[in-house]
Amino acid sequence: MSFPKDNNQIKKRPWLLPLLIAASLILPIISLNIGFYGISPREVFLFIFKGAGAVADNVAIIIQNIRLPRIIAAFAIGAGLAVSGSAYQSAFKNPLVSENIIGVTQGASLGAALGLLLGLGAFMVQLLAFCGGIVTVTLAFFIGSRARFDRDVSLVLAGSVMSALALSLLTAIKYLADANDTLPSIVYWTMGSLAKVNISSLAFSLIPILFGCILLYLLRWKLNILTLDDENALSLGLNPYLYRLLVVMVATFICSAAICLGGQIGWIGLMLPHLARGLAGADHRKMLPVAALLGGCFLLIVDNLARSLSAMEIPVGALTALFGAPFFIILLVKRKPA
Amino acid sequence: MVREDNLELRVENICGGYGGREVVHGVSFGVEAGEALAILGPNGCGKSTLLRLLLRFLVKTKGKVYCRNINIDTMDRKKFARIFSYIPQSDRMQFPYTVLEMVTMARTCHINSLASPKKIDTKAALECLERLRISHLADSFYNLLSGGQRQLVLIARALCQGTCVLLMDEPTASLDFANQELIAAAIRLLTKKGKIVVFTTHSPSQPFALAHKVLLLDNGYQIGFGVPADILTNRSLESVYGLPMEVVSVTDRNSQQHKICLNL
Repeated sequence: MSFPKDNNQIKKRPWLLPLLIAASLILPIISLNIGFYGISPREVFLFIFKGAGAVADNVAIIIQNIRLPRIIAAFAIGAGLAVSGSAYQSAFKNPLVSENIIGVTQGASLGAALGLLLGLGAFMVQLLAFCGGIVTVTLAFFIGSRARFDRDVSLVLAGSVMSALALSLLTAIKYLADANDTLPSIVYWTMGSLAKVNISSLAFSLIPILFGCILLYLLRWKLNILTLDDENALSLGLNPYLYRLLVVMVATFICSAAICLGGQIGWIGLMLPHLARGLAGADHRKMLPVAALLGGCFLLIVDNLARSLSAMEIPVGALTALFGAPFFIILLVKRKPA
Repeated sequence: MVREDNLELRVENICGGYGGREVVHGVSFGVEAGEALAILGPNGCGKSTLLRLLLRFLVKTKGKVYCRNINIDTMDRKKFARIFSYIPQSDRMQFPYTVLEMVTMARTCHINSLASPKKIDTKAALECLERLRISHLADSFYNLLSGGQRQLVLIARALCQGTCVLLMDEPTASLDFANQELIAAAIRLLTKKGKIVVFTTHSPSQPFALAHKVLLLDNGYQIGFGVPADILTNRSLESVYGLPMEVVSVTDRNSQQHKICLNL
């Protein structure tokens, strides 16, 4: 028997991952050229292949201390948010959730702002951000699972309630904060910007993001099983409650580290998993690496736009929202019959 | 008879339900390898609850279940998944998995915690699709299949899990006639391979066509267990369904005898 190939079948794209890997190597190099201070491709080339000594001192300093950390931060945050967004969607069996819909972003920002208000060190700020994120996502999940609406809708509604609550507390903290010193740094956070990334802040957040992404990659097959309903997962031999807890913890760990580094950069966690699923299919073995590389490239491009569209820098969080909001509308309207 | 030790699956006086409410009151039966058991009864009689108790989704308040003389309550989830598999009613998914990916999920109980299925697991999944004659659907999206095809995929998944007992929740409930026949053929194929198939149904004629044994339930109580011809009589069916019923024998043009339950 032979059956015609039709569009009910998955399109295999063997070129996808190699293409994304190539883009992830080339884009950062191109990005080194972009910025207020003009650096020629030749200088970038010399810097990469002959070391910092081959170019003028100021060029080397700009590349080493400003552009390179920022490029790495953009890529890591984009990849981290895309991977954690995929994890949330799988753990909650709901492709409409992401870290800022279920309140993780707002909770983590609240925690971080509290840390800044109290004048705590970078480690405590990050820890408070993680705690804030965990608390909001846990509350959103429990309220959502007890609400009388459809489960998917309830989670989104409970998440928006939790984020509103976190934002109101954040406003209170802003009101209490020192207008000369603490307030600007909190406001910078909530806007989402990579302008203040430096080597030390990068090193501090990069490790949790990388560690979390590796852990979720190891759990990639379990992410598939978690999208099934709980009885199904149990009958396949997986404890869904335990793995859901683990996955949500790790995803929140990544998110809070990304938020500590770049502030509130929304919509990546929602958009990129969908793009990755559209290109590579739903199987997390294939879509997770695609989501990570796609997310990294996406935020790198958007950050390049943020720092080169105008003489004044545009907060990158504003730009991702500019792309993300219409995307979410299209998703809601065109959602395939599930 | 239930206490015989050579039975593959032996259920002794199990009770249980949701929360504090007991829905199933003392059910006992035994099935040999290669037999299909139909759990029959009207809506709300506790069929699904019994299935959920057997699958350990719900906690039993009383009773024991043995598979090859091993108490299933002593096994961890992973080990249990290698002995009992579950074929739910086929729902659409939120996520666009392919048929092959869905079936490969059955290998979860055979691989390590942080591992992913390897080529050998994919090959096993393909073989199960082949056995149910749906290997041409391997790369199709599960969500876009018909109800009958989705049900077959879930049967292939249970087959790929390599268990000796397969439990199906109303496998033919929402299917048209041709698709019901596809599922019936799959059940016969499984029992021929020596598997035990336990399925729930609310069609009183189905046990005659498909099952070696039938368990008749009413209101959570066991009315009868045994060969369909012994258990499904005019009297037992009338008492369970509260309708005037008759079991009739018909002979088809190939001189094959069939039994059918009619509501008079």
